[in-house]
Amino acid sequence: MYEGVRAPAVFTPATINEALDIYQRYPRSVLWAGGTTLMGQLRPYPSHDNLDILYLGNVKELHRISRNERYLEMGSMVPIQRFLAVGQHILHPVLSDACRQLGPEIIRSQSTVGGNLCHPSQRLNIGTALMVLESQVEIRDSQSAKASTRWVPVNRLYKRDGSLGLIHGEIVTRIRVFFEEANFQLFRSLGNPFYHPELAVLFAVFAKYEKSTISEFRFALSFPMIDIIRSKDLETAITSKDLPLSSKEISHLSTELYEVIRAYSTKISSVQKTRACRAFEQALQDLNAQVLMS
Amino acid sequence: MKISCLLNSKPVDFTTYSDKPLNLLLSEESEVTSITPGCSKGRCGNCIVLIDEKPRLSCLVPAFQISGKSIQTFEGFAKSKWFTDIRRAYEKHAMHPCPYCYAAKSLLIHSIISDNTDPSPEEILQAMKINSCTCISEDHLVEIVKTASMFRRRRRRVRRS
Repeated sequence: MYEGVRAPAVFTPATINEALDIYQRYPRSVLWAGGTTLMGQLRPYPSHDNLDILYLGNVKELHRISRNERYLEMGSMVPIQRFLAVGQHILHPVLSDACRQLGPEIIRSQSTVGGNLCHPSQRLNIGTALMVLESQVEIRDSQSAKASTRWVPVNRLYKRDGSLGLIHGEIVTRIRVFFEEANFQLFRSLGNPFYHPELAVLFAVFAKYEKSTISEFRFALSFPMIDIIRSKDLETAITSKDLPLSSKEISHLSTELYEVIRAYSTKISSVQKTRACRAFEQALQDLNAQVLMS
Repeated sequence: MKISCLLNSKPVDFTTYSDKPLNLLLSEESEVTSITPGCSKGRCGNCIVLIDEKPRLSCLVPAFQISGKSIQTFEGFAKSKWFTDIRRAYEKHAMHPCPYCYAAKSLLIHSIISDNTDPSPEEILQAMKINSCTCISEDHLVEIVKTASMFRRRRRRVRRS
């Protein structure tokens, strides 16, 4: 069973610069964050890929959480459970629900924010929630002579085809979540994105309304194996509508969403399309209910 | 790779593959027998061990991460006074987990009642969800954990007085 298997070298840098330096010298090494998906799905033991491991868990800078009056900033190696505990009173409900729905506490205390965001082939909970919050990520590059740093919106972290947009040698080091008031936030995970990614749908909504008129509506749909979709056209169509929305309006918007999903990719399964439309309709119904109750 | 750690409070050295999962390392290279062979993908929740007092799925922990850490398996835990609270709770309800998940469930219950002296049914079920074995119904599981936490509270009260 273990014939021909080479024990991978493990690099355990203590600073970001050291990590970038090692990554530049060993560009084929696997970036290791919490390791929950690497151990479980992507790199089951014994691994025959002969890739070395660059473990980021000892980099103290990547474990920091800070805040000011405008935003909350966290290092990419912050475990999700710690992020939830620290930010329980200040986190957007859409983000805290996305974290909670990731799995039981044991999994959450091992998996990290950056690991969830930078899964090489799946778009998961935190990316979907951060997308509607229009958050930013800091990317540091080890390839250029002088290590460069840039902040980009979360949607720019992924390419048009849904794959991870990081160029080799780049590491996500920090995530910035802006504080913004909203009247309605929601995160739903339909199906399990880890076990049945071809059937699962992740859905996040962030909406504001004033005097029963929607002033801003953002939503993101993640089809884990494909991409996270945000339809600006549909968001604009919903913005400035009066609440409560009629059943006819909800049905019409749901049909429009179906067309958007259908046009986006042929790989999206019919179960996912149906789940996405039902989640969207349900969210609009919940928004109606909230307005009528207030 | 040479790894030194504490296994059930005893210092041990392993020379092993750096990315070998802890469940395989313990069952193949130590005398631990309480880790039952499971899914190795973090789904069944039968390979729980305590690493620095925190419960972890040993199939998701690579060998290089345990260097310098304290690992407690069910063998070590069963000798401690903390297990008595859980064993008494099983006996009181005349309900024991199956041999397949006994170790994992006991360690999970210990971690719940160590962190929270009076866990709510929701908290209990949320924490126990990681173990997929259904040998005990949810209602009975809540009862057992509540009883174990009562025994644990009493033990602490006695120690304080």
